[in-house]
Amino acid sequence: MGGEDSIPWTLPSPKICASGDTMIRGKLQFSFLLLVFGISLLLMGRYAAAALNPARPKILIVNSDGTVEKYRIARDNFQQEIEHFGGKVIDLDLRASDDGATIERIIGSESPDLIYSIGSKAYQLTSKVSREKPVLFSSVINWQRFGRNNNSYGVANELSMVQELSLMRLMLPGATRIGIIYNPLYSKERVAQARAEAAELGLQLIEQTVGNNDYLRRALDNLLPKIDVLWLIADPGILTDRQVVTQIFSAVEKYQKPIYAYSDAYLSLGASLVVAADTPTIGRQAANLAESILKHEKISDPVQTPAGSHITLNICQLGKLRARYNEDALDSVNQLLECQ
Amino acid sequence: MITAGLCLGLAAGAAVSSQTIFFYNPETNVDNFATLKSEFDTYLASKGSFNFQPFSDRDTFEKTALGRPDSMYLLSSWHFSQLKSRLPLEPVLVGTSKGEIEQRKILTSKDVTSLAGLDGATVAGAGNEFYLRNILRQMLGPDKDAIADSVKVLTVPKDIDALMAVGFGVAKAAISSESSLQKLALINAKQSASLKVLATSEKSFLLIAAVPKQSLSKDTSLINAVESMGSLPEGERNLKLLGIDGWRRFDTLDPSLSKDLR
Repeated sequence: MGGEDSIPWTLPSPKICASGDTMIRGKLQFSFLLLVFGISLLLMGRYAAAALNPARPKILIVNSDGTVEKYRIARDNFQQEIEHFGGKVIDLDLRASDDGATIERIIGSESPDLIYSIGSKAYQLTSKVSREKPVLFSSVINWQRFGRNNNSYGVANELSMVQELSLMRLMLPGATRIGIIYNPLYSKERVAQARAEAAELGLQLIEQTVGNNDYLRRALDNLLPKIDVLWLIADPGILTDRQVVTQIFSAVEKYQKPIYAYSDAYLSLGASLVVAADTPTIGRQAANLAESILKHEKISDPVQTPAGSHITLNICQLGKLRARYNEDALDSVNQLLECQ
Repeated sequence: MITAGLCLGLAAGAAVSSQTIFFYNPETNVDNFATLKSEFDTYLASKGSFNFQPFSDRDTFEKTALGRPDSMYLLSSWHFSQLKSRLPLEPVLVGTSKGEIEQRKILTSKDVTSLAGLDGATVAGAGNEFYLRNILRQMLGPDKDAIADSVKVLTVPKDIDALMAVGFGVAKAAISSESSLQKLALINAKQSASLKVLATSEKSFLLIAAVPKQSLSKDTSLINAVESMGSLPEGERNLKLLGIDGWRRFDTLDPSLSKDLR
């Protein structure tokens, strides 16, 4: 649970001890009852004020799994930021609950002004039972597969193509021929967008398509000699299993090219540069968006691109490949990997 | 979280008679503390009994690190100016980047043409909110406090993120250094060209290395070890993690530049 403004969604009932015989005990009990009564009044007043005062809105946070670090970081940063705005937070962790009934019950009893769902499970379930309440999401991988209605907002989990390309250019300025391997069935539009963005940045996108029945190895042999860096995108038609991923990395090693990837998971395989969305910023950004929604401000972009980036530079791998990186950009790097 | 962990490391390590370099910079949010700690400790180990202790939180830094003898503090000049009235600190080195010792902060926007257009807008910037609001007030001037108070500050890890956030509409304006806008021009000329400078701050030093006044006449080996970083490749690389590439002795600066920090 978060700070002092957190309200558990079920409040424990106060227990009052049985009475005793002595006068002192009676006085103590009376005092205790008065104290409980006073606290109850205070709490009632506090919750009533929260319900009536639109400047102190109630926010239900539905977390897909509170033990997942990325979700926890997004939640904590959201809460820290929304406290400036005076938002009150009710937490619900879906780790032990797989249906929307619990969410629906809490929405009914607490009537939150906004629901912030963290992770795909939370967003999917909340969308079904939100009862016209605004739903804000984050940490949903590829949110487009779930769609959104008029009253849902979010912060995407993936950086935009222009961010990915710009930050790659920042860290690896010598790499101008960017290789990309993709399955048109899954990534045709995304690559078209990347092509346009790359051209604007003065980069050359060298594309290699791989269909369902094509040989990946042959495609890589065709692509790799022509490029400075291989940009690995999250294409489910290419990255089908670990064996395929290993095949890509071994081919790249043969041609001595760096790999630019979107997840730290590829570092152990030898990715040279990983750029991803910065999770604390996602939480703060969601809070900023929540404030705008609650103030009924005009929202020009209901699903925002993540504003912060997290960069890992594998200088050990780059050293092995004799590839240059931009030392003047090291102050932008979160994690620097050296050879052990 | 990382900082808390590193702070515990400090408590254990500080018992040994080693000298510590404490680092806190409110002008960045890049969570690189583990990397900084590891890189600086590795470098400093060959120079003497020194260690490096970065902080992400101002309060923790001020409560835990300040006032320790035989230590050095790497601080932003903005933070140093705030501390100097409370603590007897003496600046000894000033960070340089490509020969420059000062920087200027700028406020840029894509579609806001006057400062009045910032009312209630989201302004992105790297660093903590207190610092960003403070620098925004300085840039806007005393008659624009209402605007400075009305903006929503979105803190992002680094200047480039703030500038790009304006480019794709997450923020109306960005606070960054001038040099970061130049950096953006190199990697994304179109986005950089779309940004207009609305206001600028006064110039300030890049990074200050300061020591407690009572330590000045004592052992200078720590100052020498830090100063020499700029002339050694691995030392320079570590400085670049902090956004500088070398040092200048504070006492060699033109008095007109250094008077504000004395």
